Amino acid sequence: MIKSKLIYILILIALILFFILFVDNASLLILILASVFPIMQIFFLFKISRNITATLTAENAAVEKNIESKIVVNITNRSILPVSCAVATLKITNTLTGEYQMLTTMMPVSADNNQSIKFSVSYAHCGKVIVTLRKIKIYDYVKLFSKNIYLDISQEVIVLPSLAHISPDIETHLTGSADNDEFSKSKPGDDCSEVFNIREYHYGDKINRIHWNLTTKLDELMVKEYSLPISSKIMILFEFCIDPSDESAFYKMDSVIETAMSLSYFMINNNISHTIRWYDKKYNVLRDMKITSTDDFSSFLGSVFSSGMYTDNYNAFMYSRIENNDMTFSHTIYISSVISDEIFHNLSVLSNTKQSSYLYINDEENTPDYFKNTDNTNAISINYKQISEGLKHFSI
Amino acid sequence: MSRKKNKKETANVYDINNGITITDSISLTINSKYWINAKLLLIITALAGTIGFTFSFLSLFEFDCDRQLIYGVLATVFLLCSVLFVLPPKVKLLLIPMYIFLAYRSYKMRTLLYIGYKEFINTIALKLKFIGEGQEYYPLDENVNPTEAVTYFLIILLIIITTIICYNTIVKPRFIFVFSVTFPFIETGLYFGYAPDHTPFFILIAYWVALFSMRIAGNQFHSTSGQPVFVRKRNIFVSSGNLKNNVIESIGVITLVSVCAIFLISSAMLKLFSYERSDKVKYMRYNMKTAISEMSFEKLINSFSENNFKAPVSSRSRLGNLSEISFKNRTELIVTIRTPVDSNLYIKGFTGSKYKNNYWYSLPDEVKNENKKIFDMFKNNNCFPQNFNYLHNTMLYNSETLYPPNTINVRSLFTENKYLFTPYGVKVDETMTPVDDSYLLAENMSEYNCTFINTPLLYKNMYIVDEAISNIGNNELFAQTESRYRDFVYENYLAVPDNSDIEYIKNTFASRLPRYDGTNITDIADGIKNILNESAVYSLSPGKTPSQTDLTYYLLVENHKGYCSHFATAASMLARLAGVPSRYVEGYVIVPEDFLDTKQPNGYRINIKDSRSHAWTEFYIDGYGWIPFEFTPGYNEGVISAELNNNNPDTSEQLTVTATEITTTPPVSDTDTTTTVTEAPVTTTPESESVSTSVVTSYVTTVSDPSDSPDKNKPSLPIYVKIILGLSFFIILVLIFILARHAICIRKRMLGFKNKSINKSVSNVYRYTEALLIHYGISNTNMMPLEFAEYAEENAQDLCNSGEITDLIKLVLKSSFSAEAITQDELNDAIKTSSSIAENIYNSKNKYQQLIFKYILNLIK
Repeated sequence: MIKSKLIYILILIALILFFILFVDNASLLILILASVFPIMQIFFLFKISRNITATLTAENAAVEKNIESKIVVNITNRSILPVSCAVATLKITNTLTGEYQMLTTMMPVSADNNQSIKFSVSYAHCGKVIVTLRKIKIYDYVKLFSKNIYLDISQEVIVLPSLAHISPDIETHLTGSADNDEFSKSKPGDDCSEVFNIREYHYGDKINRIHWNLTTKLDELMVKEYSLPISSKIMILFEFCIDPSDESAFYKMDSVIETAMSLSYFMINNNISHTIRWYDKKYNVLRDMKITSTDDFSSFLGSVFSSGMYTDNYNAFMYSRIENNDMTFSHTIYISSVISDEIFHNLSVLSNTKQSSYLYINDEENTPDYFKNTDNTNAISINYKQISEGLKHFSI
Repeated sequence: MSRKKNKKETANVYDINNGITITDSISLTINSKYWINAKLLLIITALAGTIGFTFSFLSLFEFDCDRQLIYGVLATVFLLCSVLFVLPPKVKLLLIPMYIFLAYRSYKMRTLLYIGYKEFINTIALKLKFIGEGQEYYPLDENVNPTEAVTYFLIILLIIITTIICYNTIVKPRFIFVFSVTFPFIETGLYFGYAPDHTPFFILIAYWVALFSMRIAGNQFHSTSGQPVFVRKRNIFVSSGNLKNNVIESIGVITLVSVCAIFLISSAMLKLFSYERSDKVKYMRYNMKTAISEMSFEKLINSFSENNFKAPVSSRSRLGNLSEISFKNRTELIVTIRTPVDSNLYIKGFTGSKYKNNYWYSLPDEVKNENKKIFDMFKNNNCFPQNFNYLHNTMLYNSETLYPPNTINVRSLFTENKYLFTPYGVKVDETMTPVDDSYLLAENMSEYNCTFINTPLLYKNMYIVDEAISNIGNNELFAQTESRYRDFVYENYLAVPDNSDIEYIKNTFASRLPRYDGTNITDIADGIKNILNESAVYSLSPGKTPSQTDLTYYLLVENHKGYCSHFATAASMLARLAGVPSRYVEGYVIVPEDFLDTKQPNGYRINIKDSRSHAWTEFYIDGYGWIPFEFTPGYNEGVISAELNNNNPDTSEQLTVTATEITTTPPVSDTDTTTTVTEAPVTTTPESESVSTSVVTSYVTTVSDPSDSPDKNKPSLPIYVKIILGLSFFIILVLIFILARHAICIRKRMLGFKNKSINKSVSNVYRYTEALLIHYGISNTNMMPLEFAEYAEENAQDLCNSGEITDLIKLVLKSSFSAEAITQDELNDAIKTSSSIAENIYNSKNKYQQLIFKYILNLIK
């Protein structure tokens, strides 16, 4: 635009000289034209700006990672004058990771018309994405002037984590508490106080599960399957921390969420209620959410994505230790992309947990040597690219 | 309401280390609700351009041609062009036979065309006053009909321009191209002060503005088909010219209409208020024109030097040292005159009495000392040579009713105040002190008042002298003083330098003058005027006089050009050689037009600029005193020129020259010169200073070498006009050549791609691709085909998708060595690959490189 203005000023100077030197009235009329033309352009710009509206639409409110989703900008020009150049700038921000992209489109808009432009965007990391169209800038026909039309419209897109497949055969060793009388109707467990099913012996079944009486009667080895108490106190605690120096930090953080989600989803499908706990950096509080149904699961996602990340490695653990030391869980699952021997050995201090698991998200498959499983505490290394594989060794 | 969808993926790949990726996929859905077809809008714009240019051009130069025929042919051509240009590209080829036929007809009628061209140039030259009425720049045979010839020439010219306008508006709007073709024709007239008819001219301007707006608004409007609708640069998606949504076309028509409306309203307002240019603007124009015409590199250098002021009046340097006169257009005197005068008013300042080594000096002290008694007598009698005119007029008319005394207030701003600037006929009062016989002093040298009687004292009114002399005896005191001073004058104002140059002047020129006998002053003045007019012309830049050459000799014999100082000096020398006492005077000239719009409550206030500084000659008339005589061409009132030329059968050329000189002498205003020219039997334009300069030059040639053939007297176009015209035609020719070559190359390549033998087509596609890759810096240096394919793939990742070059080379190998037939789809894929490579190379270049790539190398359509 500076170039255009410079050219205009030069033309104007030339025409002033032309007016002085050229006696005919034509020179004056041309000078008048050169003087009035920009005013006319401003008038056009003003008229157009009052008749321009825009909307922003995200075709999908929730998308999976790495799957393209569409963002649509619809511009309507109700004026009889066309727009030579309209510049719409979108800001696409992942509120969880803080990543953002600016997207600009420059196009003409016909008179008394509307047109929509559709962009495809894909997201590598899960989180809540906000697409904002703050303003549209329109130019006059010779690009001497421009005018901003402020809109401030935005759309939210939830980028869902990819749920890892967890085998239904995953070991479950949940035992109910004294007053626990709810058991899963679909999945066997280890609570010997309630028999879930009696079936034929399969290779690998424990000897102590053999129903000897029935075996004698039927002349075939039969085993008892105990029930799975679904009201067990399981807590999934995960850290939302990242290591800024780690290039794959966002991917590991994705895996932390995905691991937590996958476990939660698995438990929901098996009617195992549980608690998910994380640290909300945004409000500096520890958040708990009791997950008893798929609805709870959905709302949990939105809450998690609003929280934001942090670089202090053990916030969730530390806050959990401070705030909830009077609570008791049968199994605490601690998920983090940060390795810590100290945390590992202190997992048991969390809420008098009977059983603790340290799910360490990393880019290796082996657990570090100093993680030595005990009767109550075990550590599992999960490669962030292969969550399902890692969870095979996990038991609830 | 139908909807159409344009979707095209760009070839660019954008990848950054960011979790949010904006893919290349972008689609635009636009509502195709248009009131008017886009092409129709373009045709309207092109029509405005064609009408505007044709009518402007024809009205500008007033060609004697069959306009109805021209309009009819152009309407047909426009209709044909606009119809063909909106149809698919191949249909445009139908124009080729038409132009071949046109070329053939032109060839067959080349003689007529050439005559038309000559008449075309003659008309322009006549309009621009390069030649006079009845003259011809190119002599034409009397048997030919110039009207028919020029009509034919104009038809050919306008057909070409109409085609250019149509193509560059309807097919590919290009402002620069159209402007550079059409503007020079109009500019030729504008430069010389001629405007076309306003209506078509404004339509043409509206068309230019519309095209310019389309260019700015459209950016890459109407780019090559097949290109993406959007072009991506990082995360910026810019719509390319392929986005056809009527916007650019609408902008063109909206701008066209609105500009026309502005012109219409403005014209109406000007007429309503009867607008006329103010005198301030007129004066500004005059000053600017003077400044422009005077501008030179030498003056620019001089402007930085300390002693840079070169107006002749204040120059005390050696006369010939000034190679040229320059003016700063600064006000030097502000005079307020009670009553306006109707003839040139000479304000006298410095008086040169003694001439030696090209210097004019005031009266030497030794002379003053020797003649102290005379100067004392002036004081005693209160009768000075400085107020002889006033006294004489008072005595002559014996009444103040015929020539009532006038007053002048002079305020000096810049000039050194060594003497007063006073008009002739000044009354020496008690506030003034006469110094010897030449100038006056006052207590306040920077501002003073004078009374004077403005009588017609100039040369043409010399008949009054005899009557004046006869009345002189009525005042004995005056008669006594004048008589004694006359002796002094004859002793001191007849001296000339004693050198060979003056001797030559005496023998060659002064010998033609009658000897002064006290009564034949008119004959002598006529003779001097005649000699000067024959031998020299006025020039602001005559060059320096050689140090050993006398100024008069150099003016009359060698250089033949000079400015007022030269003419005044030469006239003074010639007069002294003829026995007439004379001296050199410097001062200022006020012309009657200077009084226009300068009226103040106390009189007419005039700012006298340095450009009005002047030098002239005074002759001593016995019994009367010093009388100013004007010998510089352009400062008289035309009488002498006419008289002289009427008696000279060989001076028709000179007559023109003399009259034109009058119009061009810079210190005299345009209005003044126009009036003067009216008296002369020749009409000239008041606008054409530069033209007259060339005419003056031509005149000098004639005088210095009378034996030249008549052709040498033919007026010629100024060199810069020739250069402008020549360059314009050259540029047009080059552009046409480049475009034609581009079209032929592309056509040839496309034919190669569509060869009857599909194998040859593949081969052609490969050759083209190879040329593109070589241009990109990827050449096959003794590599096997597939090895080269791998190498090219590695280095051309930005140009095409992975594997495409390999596929192309495999296809070439298949076409060469395999018996398997190649399908049309395979060929299309190969063409697509090569096109994609070409597009990407083209897009990767800057604008200049793109032009080279496209129009010089012809590697892309």
